[in-house]
Amino acid sequence: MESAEQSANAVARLALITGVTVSFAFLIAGLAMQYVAKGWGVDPSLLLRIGIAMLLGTPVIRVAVLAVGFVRERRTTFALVTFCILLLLGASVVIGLR
Amino acid sequence: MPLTQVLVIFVVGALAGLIGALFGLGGGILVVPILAIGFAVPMHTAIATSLLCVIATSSAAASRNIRLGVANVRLGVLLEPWTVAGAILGGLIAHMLPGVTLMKIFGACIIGMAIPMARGLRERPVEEAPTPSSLDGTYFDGAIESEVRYSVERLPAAMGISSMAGVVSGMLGVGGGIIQVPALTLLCRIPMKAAAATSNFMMGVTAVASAVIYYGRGYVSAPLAAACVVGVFVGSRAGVRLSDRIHGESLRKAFAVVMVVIGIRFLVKAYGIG
Repeated sequence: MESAEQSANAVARLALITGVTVSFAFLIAGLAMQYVAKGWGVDPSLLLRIGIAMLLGTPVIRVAVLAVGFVRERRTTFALVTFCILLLLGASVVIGLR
Repeated sequence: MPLTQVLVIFVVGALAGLIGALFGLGGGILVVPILAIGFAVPMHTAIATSLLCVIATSSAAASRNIRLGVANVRLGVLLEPWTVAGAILGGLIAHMLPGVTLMKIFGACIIGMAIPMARGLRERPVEEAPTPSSLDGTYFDGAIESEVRYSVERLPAAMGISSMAGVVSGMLGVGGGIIQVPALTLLCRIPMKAAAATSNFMMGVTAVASAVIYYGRGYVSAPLAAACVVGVFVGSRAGVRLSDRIHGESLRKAFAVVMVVIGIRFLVKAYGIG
């Protein structure tokens, strides 16, 4: 049977590839709206911003998924380290927005 | 930004991604010089764009490497706080420095990076520790058609070097693999394939930590980033496929020469010579 850590790894893989794909969809749509299909009533810069935000969020989701896997597997050290990474990423967002 | 420029940046980004992937460096190392020198993009914006490219290429490659079991996820997780902390510091340092100083640092670093690139990396024999550890790794190596088992040595040293790689990544917009892969291979005695995959696994998260700082400071140009990220991604996917067929010692040395030329070009521009 697959361990919680293995299934977390599988979900993390899925999160990474889905995040990149969705982000690319927004980035390409944003560029298309800005340069090719103007006047469709959608703000291209909003689409581009969403695409960039999704790209930035993708690895963060991967860390969160792994954290859940480590907690379920009761691997305390790894779970604490992943939470530490999330805290550091949160700090970088706060620094970035200040 | 005019459409023609967006298309040119897409094509150039694809070439940077292709070449970067061929030499296992990611597109980042070429994106910064191309944008800063070729398109006169401000240095901070070039770095921010490069970091977004690193996130995209690293995320896709990490997904593959986890599936193949080549990336040592537990080791990557233990080293990530160090790379992330370093990247935050690197992003903050870069914000405080003028673009011309970053150019000088980038120029000097890329010349320094060309030396190990030209010399190549000689793996030390991989050994299994007598007592099993939760960091031990196993993966199937298709090239030798057998399972490779290894143990991780000198973890504290890897943590120190990871924070350095994070600072370089955050400050210059390169992935940090050029520092981490030799360190993991030579210090921790991890097979090169596992070292490269584990370093790549960490790169995305590391780049996010500094990219949000650049984003928050207004250094990200959305159309430029979108065109470049998509271009680098497409090119790097093609490069990964090509790299399986190309084994060129002379190509690697030629690329090291290109890196030196780029470094000199940066230094010349930064010091206003000529």
